[in-house]
Amino acid sequence: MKATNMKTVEINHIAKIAGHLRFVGAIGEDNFALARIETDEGVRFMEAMVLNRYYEEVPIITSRICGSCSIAHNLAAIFAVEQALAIHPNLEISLLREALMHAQWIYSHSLQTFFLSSSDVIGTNSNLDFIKSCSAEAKLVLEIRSFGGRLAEVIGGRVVHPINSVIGGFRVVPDWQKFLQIKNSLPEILNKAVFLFEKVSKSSWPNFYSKSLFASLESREHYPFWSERMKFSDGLELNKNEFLGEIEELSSPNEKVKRVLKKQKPFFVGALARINNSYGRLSPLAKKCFDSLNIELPTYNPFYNFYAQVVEIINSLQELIPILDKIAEFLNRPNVEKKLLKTFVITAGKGSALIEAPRGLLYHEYEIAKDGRIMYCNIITPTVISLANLEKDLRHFLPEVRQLSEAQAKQWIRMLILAYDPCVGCATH
Amino acid sequence: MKKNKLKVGLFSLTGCEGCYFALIDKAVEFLHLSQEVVIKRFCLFEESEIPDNEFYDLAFVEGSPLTTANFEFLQDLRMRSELLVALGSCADMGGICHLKNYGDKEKMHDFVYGAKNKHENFSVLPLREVVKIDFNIPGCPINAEEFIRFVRQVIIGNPQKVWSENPVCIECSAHGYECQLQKGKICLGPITVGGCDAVCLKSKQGCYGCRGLLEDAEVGNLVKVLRENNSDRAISEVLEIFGIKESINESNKHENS
Repeated sequence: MKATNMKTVEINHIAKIAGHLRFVGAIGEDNFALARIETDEGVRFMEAMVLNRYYEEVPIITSRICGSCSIAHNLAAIFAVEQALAIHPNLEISLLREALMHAQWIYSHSLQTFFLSSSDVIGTNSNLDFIKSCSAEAKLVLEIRSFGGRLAEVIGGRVVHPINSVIGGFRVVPDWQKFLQIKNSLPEILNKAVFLFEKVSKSSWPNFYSKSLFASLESREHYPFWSERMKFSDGLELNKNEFLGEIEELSSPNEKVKRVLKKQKPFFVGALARINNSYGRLSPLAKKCFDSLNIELPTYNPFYNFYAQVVEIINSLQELIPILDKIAEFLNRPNVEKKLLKTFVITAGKGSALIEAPRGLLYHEYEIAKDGRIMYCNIITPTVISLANLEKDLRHFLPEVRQLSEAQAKQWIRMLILAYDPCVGCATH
Repeated sequence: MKKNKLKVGLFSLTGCEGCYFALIDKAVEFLHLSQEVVIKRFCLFEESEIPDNEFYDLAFVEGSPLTTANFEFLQDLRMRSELLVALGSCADMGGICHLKNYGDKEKMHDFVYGAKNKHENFSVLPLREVVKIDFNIPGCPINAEEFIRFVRQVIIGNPQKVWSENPVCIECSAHGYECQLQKGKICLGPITVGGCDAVCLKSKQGCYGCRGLLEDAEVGNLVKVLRENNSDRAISEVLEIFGIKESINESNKHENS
């Protein structure tokens, strides 16, 4: 480390994220900068906790990694275990899972949008004023979030830590009347989301450039969601089974959060990566909204991840229209419950899943013994993947804010960290 | 004379923060409630870096103490709080993370982080084993309505338990949900504190006891029924998931002493 005239910046608590994060940075006169994200969160060993336990418990235990994206963990665990047990979901089950996943994105992204739309995003030091000054836009966001929550609840049985979404499908048929109510409210919610987008698209962000490598799933049919394939923005396309071979997960002393690199390079996952890699597959309305921002793609401004998330809310809402229509065609049929839960025999096997959680690529991998016990588990979360890239961006960002007052500099550093939407629960699991 | 509003703090140790997400999902009710008290700190939203030395009338803590900093914070917060409430299964009874206690925690550490880079690795304790806890709001995640009802009780100067003294079983049968016990499945509904509206049973998932052990629960009777169709290992593992097994062991100790 350079010892001469390094100016240090420390932020002891980054607010508005799930978990405890601390930022430590330093910058020299020559703009040489260091940046590190640390956490006070303890380690829980979720991957070790499922070992020797029965396969059925896996989605129950791993959803507790994160209260904000418990559905993503639930589904990733289910996909991986189903592959290990050679269970092949039918169209009905897949459609309900797609709807559940869209609900998860809407639910998770909207909290970020809430902060984006609340007046205290930039410049002020208010803490809990968000409650008092709950603006019209913020109320709108809560309404959109609640739509995602209600959809998740009717399919998954509960919003936080789903119950009805299990290995093999769904134990009970979602309530038809509640489903219809939600389905009927979708067009209005979509309109509201577009209205909200127009409001928040007026926020201004620093003109900051930090070149990154982006990674996301790749699907020919739709916006990346789950798929057997993924791609990096440098053109490399991989099968999900090759993903682990391409990356390194690094654990170092005193770092509770591991870092993930591809050939020693950090990379970015999440909404901005998906839009950069798969803009062409956004829904028409989402595309139109994104176009109105006049952002040239690929964009290397990480602050635009905020926008990307709002655009993805619109994308999910619009994609949900045909999905909910198709679900409506079978949900009320007699004996549908038989279709929604596959029967299977327990066999030894290995399985993995690479899905797009709201914050980006999420990897779950299990090995199951012939008695149904878990022999191996590996989970790589989006925050773990993006963290090294965030630190890289922060190093580039420090010279940009060095002329500002300490308070302003800290405020913008906070905003950059917040733009990445890190989740510490996921990071430390 | 108008009394001063209650000073409330919402804190987190190590955990998933799902209890707070469940709470903000009740956005309208939560916003109303937040007008009736002064929420000084809310870990999910606060901006302030200033060390907190506030004295709280009512402080909620979610998660498990898993670092030295977590323990120190909890002890310090106890001294600064009139009422300290354990929020959710993790704080209340160890919760999911408590599964760590049934394994070799050093091996578990090394499985995840390797043997070289050691991290703090405490056994998972319910908060009441670290500091005095005045109340608990059970569940994984909590039922946000119970949280709101509890705060209202404190506002009117009558803090008390707000959940039922009935088992989950009663709520399940009131809804007419299919009895998982009768199907031969493992369900802890008869011995678990109700108030969740039997949400798991609604999805045909047997109760795993996340809300804790009912007082005077007839554990022996339930185990007898469960043994008809399930192995001891399977029963024991379900009792372990949220930590109700420890509560049973504790109450057995009391009975035997």
